[in-house]
Amino acid sequence: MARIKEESVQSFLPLPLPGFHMLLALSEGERHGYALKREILRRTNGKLNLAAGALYGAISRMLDRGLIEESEERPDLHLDDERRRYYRITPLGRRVAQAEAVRLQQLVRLAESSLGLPELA
Amino acid sequence: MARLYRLLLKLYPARFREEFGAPLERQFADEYRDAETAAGRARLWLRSLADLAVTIPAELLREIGQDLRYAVRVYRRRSLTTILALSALALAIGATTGVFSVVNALLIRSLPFRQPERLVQILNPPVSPLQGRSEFMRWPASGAYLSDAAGYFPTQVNLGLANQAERVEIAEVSANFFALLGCHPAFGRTFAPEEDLPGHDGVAVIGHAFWQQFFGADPRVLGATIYLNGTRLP
Repeated sequence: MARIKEESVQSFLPLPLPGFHMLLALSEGERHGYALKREILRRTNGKLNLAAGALYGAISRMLDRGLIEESEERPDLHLDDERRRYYRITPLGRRVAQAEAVRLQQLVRLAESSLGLPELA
Repeated sequence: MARLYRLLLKLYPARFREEFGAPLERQFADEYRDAETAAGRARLWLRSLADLAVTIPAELLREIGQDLRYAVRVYRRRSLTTILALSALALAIGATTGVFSVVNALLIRSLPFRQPERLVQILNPPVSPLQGRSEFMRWPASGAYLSDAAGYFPTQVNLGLANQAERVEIAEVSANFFALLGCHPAFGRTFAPEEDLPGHDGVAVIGHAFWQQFFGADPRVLGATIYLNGTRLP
């Protein structure tokens, strides 16, 4: 059973970069779309600025694949806007994000042993 | 501004719009509010339009893909129904195409001749071209119902060219045949008035397919020699 699950996790890899960032941001807590976009912008120092269509397209695909789910919990009424949707990561999404991180780690190790990497500033 | 963006969102497939239309709209409003300067808002519009131009076709394709996958799953589960439905469809499409081809040829598309509605074919004319050319030419003027008549006699002959021979279908016609139909050749000429008289009738008009098959679509074909049942033309 565990083997089947591992295979199903591997079938999601490699993850598209926006999807990976979204899973990372959601692994720290629920967020609505715009908050997710701002968080990714902050984490990538402004390098990955997802426009609304691209963001919700990625959200839609990740919902379909069971990597994230919509959260029924809403903030207080005076802070909420009913047009907002809140999302959270699923256990499968967390496993897929971990597997993607491992994959990237192996890739970096390979690059390091082949090329040698300069010290980060 | 939000109204224009809302209108553009209608281009997304219905399912995506129903699920994400409101959050998309809300996000645009947030970003519009956060872009404080006119230049920032112009940049937001440009970015949003580019985003819509890329994501709308992508979502439409994804929707079509989902529908197709769903249809395949449903129909695979009911293979007998699917085979019956496909057979019925194939038969219906075949029958409709057949009927339309006939109706189109007979009723809708007219013959490619001048005044095709006035053309009639008479299989056993009271005066046959075989009875004599001059008698046949006088025949239309003797009655009120024909303004002109041309003879047409389809037959098969052995065609001989410089390096090949083949059995082909041709028609022997009276010299006024093309003039009566109102047809003009793509190049060259049709028959001169006297070119159906014995001794002057060594001329032929060839069709486009014939020209391509036997002369390789060579425009220098005019005046070339062919042999019909061993007789040299021209």
